[in-house]
Amino acid sequence: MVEISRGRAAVQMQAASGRFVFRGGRDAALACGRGFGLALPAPPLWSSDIGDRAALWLGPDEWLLIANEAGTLRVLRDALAGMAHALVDVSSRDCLFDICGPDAALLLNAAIPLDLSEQGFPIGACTRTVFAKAGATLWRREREIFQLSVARSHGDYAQRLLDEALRSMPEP
Amino acid sequence: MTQPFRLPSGGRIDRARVLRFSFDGRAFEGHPGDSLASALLANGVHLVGRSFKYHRPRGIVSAGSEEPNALVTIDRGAGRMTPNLRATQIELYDGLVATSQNRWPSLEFDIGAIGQFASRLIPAGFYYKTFLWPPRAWKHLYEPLIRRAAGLGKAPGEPDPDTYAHQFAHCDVLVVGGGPAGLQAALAAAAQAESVILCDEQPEPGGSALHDPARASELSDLLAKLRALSHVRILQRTTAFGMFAQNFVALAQRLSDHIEPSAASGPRERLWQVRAKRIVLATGAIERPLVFPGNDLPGVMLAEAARIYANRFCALPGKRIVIATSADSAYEAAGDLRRAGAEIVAIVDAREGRPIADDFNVIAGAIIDTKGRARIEGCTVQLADGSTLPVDCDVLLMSGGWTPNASLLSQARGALRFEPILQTFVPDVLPPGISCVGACAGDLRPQGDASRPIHPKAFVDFQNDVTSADIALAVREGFRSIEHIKRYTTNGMATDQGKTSNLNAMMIAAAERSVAPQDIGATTFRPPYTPVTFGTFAGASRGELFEPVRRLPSHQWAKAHGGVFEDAGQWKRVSCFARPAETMRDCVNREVLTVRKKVGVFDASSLGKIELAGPDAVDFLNRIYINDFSALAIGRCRYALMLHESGVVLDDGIVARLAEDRFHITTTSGGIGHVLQHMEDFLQTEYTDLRVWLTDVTEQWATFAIQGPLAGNIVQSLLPDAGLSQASLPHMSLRELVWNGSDLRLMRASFTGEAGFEINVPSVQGAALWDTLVDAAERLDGCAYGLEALNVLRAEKGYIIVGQETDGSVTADDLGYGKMVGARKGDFVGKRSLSLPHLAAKGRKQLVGLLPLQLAQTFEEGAQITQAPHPASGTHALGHVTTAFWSATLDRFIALALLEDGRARIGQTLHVPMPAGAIAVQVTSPVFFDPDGSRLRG
Amino acid sequence: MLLIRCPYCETERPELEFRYGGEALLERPKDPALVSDDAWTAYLWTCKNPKGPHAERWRHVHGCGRFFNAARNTVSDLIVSTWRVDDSPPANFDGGGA
Repeated sequence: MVEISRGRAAVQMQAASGRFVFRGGRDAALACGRGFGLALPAPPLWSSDIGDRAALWLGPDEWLLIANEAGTLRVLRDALAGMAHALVDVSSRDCLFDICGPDAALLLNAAIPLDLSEQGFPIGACTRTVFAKAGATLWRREREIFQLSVARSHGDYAQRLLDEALRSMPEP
Repeated sequence: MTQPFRLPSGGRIDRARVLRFSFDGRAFEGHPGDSLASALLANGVHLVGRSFKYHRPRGIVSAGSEEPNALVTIDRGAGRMTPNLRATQIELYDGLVATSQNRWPSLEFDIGAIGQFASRLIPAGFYYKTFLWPPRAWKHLYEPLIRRAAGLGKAPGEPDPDTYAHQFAHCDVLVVGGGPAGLQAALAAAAQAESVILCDEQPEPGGSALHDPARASELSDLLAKLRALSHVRILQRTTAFGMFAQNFVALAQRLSDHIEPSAASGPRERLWQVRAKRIVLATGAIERPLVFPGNDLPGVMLAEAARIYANRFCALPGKRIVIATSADSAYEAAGDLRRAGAEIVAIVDAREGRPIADDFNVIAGAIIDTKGRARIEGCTVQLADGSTLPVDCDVLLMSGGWTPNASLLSQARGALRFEPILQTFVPDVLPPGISCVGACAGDLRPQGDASRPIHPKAFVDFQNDVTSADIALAVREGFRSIEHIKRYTTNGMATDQGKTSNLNAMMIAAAERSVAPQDIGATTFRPPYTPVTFGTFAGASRGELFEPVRRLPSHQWAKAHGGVFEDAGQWKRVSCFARPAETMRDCVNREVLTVRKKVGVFDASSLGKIELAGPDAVDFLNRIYINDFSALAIGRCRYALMLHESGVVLDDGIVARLAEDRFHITTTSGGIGHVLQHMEDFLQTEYTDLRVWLTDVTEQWATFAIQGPLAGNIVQSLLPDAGLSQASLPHMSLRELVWNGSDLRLMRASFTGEAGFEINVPSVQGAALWDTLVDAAERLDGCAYGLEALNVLRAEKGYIIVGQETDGSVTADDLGYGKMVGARKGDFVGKRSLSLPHLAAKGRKQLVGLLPLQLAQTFEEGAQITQAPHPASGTHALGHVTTAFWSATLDRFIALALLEDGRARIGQTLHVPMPAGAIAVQVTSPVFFDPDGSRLRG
Repeated sequence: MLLIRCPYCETERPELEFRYGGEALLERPKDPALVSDDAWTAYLWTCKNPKGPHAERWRHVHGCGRFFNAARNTVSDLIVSTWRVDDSPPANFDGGGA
């Protein structure tokens, strides 16, 4: 894990984890949630999580499932047998960063145009968005911890931009 | 004696510290808290620049961002030179180096100033009237001449060494302006628990209260309350320069220009992009100059500016002062300046209802002339009875009343109305979510108006040298709309956007047209409010961060092994892997021959990849691609073409069937974005009955091609237990396997014409697999090959590249792929267009090969193809070259081309005209190598 | 930078997350083979290009990925309303200057 921090914000590059894209209709989403042991959130831009397993709403028929246990994919496939759906392993696809600290939102707002205040983007909120010139997924795991993911080949760009943003952060 | 005009006490400067600075090479001293303008005035310097058009000597007019005249260049070292900065906004620091502009050889003696004697020859609109004839003279005479004369200041030649930052922010209330009204508004909002951003262009908050000692305690009280609130962000040195739709405001924050260069660190400026629920404009009002002959002499200033210099900066602009006014505020300036030690020689008031001020020499009348060359020495007053009175002075102050500073409101499409009591325009209809407070809202004392004589030396726009005579001329020449008069005269079109000149110009135009001011209307202000550096807009997006740089899994290996990189979109791709002392051509030839004779490995990870799943997947594929997938067995692949609805080729790739309801699809490297967009579009809006889902797995999989006669050996050694054979894994088939504990997708496919494989592994394993493959290849005398070799290999086989052989006008049939169209299936995207007359017509350009008749001759991609070697001018080309390469395999030059009726012309001799002469070429089949494909089956 | 309400995310997002997708409310012929050349060409290429309210397709490409419809006033550039592709335009939408 690589960490860069200055003042009240820190960037930690995370190792890849088990990540799966589930797409399908309502019945399949219910079945997927049962198999996953965690109901897929129905409200837009919202997540649910238990321990280190989480389900993020990314679109009306699309969720990102996060789980590190080996065999997750097989369990899910069994739960979804016979139902129309797509379940794709994307564990290698993304580069993950944890952005932590009281000024995490301020740091992210150097490159993300969204309102990341606790009212605008509460704990549990998640979304795809843009990080400067790269597409990104953002998830507020805790009050002071955001998880930012970008496509693997955009990882270097995101890291350098975060580093520059850390060096030039405004006063809180 | 230094600083002879510095007052001994008071103000907001720190007399305990002395700052040294230079202006045009002369050394001066000032204090912290000074602006460059105030420090110059404290040293008795009024002449600071030459005007744009006539090179007239000019001084300091104002004390703020509205300054039209006092533009200087600040030099902070190599690459840090900034022209056209307003001396009134530059904060003094120790060692500041400033120079004047638009003069040669010196400010006092300027050759260009002879322009002013020719002013009759360069009236308004002279750009449009002169230089018309002869037309040829434009390029060689007029344009170079105008270019040399045009422009103000000089841009630095070196790269900018500073960094710049960007910040998005959201708030309930954005207050623009840190004067008393703005601070009050911020406090009121904060008291309602609203989050507040207050931006103010000055170094410290306070606005007009900074030069009003009577309001000092009120100011400190307000500030103390505001600073105690955590949900209020106060941004000083921050200009709100752009107002955009839905309360989106751009702010430029200057972070280090006020600090001496050696002590400055961090970014130079920050762009704030603020989205506010509501906006309060507290931008104050701007004092208007008066229009009279010679009103541009150094020493002629705005009355309130003189008061600011005296009270806030303790710099007395002059000792013998005449004030010309049509507003009461000038009397307060007079009182303060007299207390500061100046003699108020006279107050010339143009109004009927002027106030009673027995303690001043108040004259009813107007200024009709000034005296002096580079500094005012006196003026002529015309009295009410018509008689004239000469008066000596060293400073002439003017106040034509106040105009609400509505630039930002105008940018936000707010409407203004003319207010007769104030003789100016005030905010009328406010856009939703925007309010104005204080002087900006028109909260001003009643004020009168002064006459504006039409005279060729009575300046309206100081920065662009527009006079009242120019505006009158424009009206005489038939311009009616104030927007047209503005463009024709260029009034208000300089970098100050006419903050001090627009109202005077409107009033003159109204009078000349004999219409009421409200009927002539106000001009529109546009961003930026004051100039903004390019760095502020660029932010971190420069150099390596200008665009994301995407690297392949083999990147590190390539760097260490002679990889020559090229940019393909955002990707860094390898052209070839050059060995020591190898030319690029030798390298490409070696790589090509190695693939043909042994084996080569290639990093194709940038290929777009999509996983398609769902029970209706085949149905969807049949509607999206031209091919028929109904019979594609599990484990088999197909080369597929996708059309735009207009019938032209959009993309190509391989569709591989993983299961009954799952497919692995590849797209071109640059195509993944628009292919996904195209597929989602039809899925979401047309084929909504289909239960199919797409997932972008481009970056999930690293993809390597292994190509050549020995490719099977490498795959065998990599996956010894897979039991692979030609029979179990024939050409265009796929197997899902496991390697090194990871999923692996092995495809037998070829883009080189050799027997070959494409291996996909999860990206985290990419670098490890690449090393393994290269190692295995080298043990078989194989090598890694790059994009150039790949291009030669595929061109030898006549394989197309979308975007190279296609250009948005090419159909599948044009490429010779007409037979791929599934005959038995129903409608698919683009099918209907294929029978449109222009796509079904004869004479379309078709893909062919070209071989120069003389082996040594070469030509370029994009070259035209003609029948005759030297066609007459105007002859249309028969086609063009799309790909041209030296083929190491064939030991000759080959090309692909799109040629009218190309297939029917095979065997003909045509010509490719090149600068050195036409090259005769033979038209051939596009497949130069192994036309029956026997090598593919290894 | 416009704020656009995504009817699937049910929230307003900055324009940076969206991609324009051309004119909306165009109906692709059920069986294109039965349509005349002229009608098909018009379907492909003829745009209304009105002054005033215009029905447009947008995609929340850096968001939920959905295409949706929007009524944008081409004079003021303001997006007046947005709706899902399977919903009807708002009652007060005047049909895109047809």
